[in-house]
Amino acid sequence: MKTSVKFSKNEKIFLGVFFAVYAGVALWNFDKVKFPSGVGHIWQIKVPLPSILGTLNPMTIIMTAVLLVVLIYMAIDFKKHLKKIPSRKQSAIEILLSFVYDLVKDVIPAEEFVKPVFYIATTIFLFVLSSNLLGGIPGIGIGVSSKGGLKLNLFTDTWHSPTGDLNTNVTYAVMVLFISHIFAIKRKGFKQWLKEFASPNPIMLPMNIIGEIAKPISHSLRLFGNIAGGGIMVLMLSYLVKYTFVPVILWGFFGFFVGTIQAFVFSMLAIAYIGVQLEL
Amino acid sequence: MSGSFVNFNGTSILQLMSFFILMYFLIKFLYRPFLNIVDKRAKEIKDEYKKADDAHKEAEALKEKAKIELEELNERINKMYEDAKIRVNEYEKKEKVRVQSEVESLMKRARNEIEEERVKAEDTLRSNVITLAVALASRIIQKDLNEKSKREFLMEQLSRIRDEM
Repeated sequence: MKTSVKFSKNEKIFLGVFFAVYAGVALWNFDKVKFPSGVGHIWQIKVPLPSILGTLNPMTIIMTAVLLVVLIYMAIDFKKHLKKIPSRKQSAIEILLSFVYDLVKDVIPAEEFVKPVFYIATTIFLFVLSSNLLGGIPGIGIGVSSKGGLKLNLFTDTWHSPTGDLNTNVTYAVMVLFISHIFAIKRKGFKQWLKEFASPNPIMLPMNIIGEIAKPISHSLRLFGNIAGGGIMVLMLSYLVKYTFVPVILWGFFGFFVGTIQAFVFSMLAIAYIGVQLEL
Repeated sequence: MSGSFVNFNGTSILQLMSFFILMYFLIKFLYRPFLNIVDKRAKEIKDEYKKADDAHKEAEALKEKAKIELEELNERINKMYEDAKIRVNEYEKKEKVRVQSEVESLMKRARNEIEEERVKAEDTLRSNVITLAVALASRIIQKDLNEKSKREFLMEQLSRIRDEM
């Protein structure tokens, strides 16, 4: 089907003025754009705790808290308006949840572990998804200026996504590893679980251990690289074109498109790792 | 204070805690209600299907029963019809016989009456004839006799004639 785009006279005037102003601002800005040297640095605070525990990333903590509140509010809202004949909102959430549930059901071989894995995987999925989506929306945050001091970003950067912080990803990945092994011990027994490290041959023992350690590393760094790298890449690209293109388009791409895919991949891998360990 | 964006520090502990807090609340408010309602819905649909199936089966059985009953009824109606036909035939025959006999008796009675009438008429005729004959005879013989003696005389004559014959 062929569709033609037609503009009315008013729209033509508006678009003409808009693009003229845009081009003017872009040209005026062209010379003044400086390299964002604060990129790659984040705000940290010190707390009186030993060694590495004493440093915190406040933006991550704040945004995680906000996400927690939003997600829990949505959950309460879901429960409050729960009906047997679902409303549109309810069916949207139900479709999302049943999508994850079917995924879990297909991968997990043991019936009794389907529900716990579903709880874990869906929580991971919802948190990572909403966190990644935050990385696609321009928002308020505290960044680091080029001199090393702090500065307030008012819609010059996206909301800080907690998954753009390695702490979150490593924690989740390691947690998934632990959970998978705990479930494996529960299902197979301790001896059988130990024996599987030396299978099919005792020579494979170091290989198996390295394989297990590699899991959380690849798991966490994949997500971290995509989200944090995406954010930095947007700023770099925007700098390279001297902001003649607004970064909103790139933020949208990295936040919504890559973010959704990575959230799916992250939770899918979590389910798969647990599923592999539960295999008899 | 600022640092490199690749770092690992105390934030991870908080992230772990936040994950479990989130999971707790989501299980309570989202996953359990969701699974419950899905199960409930599935069960309800199953029940409804079963109910519909049962109703269908029941209807089927009723239909079968009704069919059998209809057939029985038809048979009965046919039988009654046949019976009625036979009865009507019998009645017809009986009636015919009865009517015939009645007609016959009537005819007989009529015939008897006719006979009686005939006899009566004959008698009358005879008496008339006699009277006529007497009149004729009195004219013929011109004899002056009283009525009684005339009659006696004639009867005598007649019996004589009968004897002679």
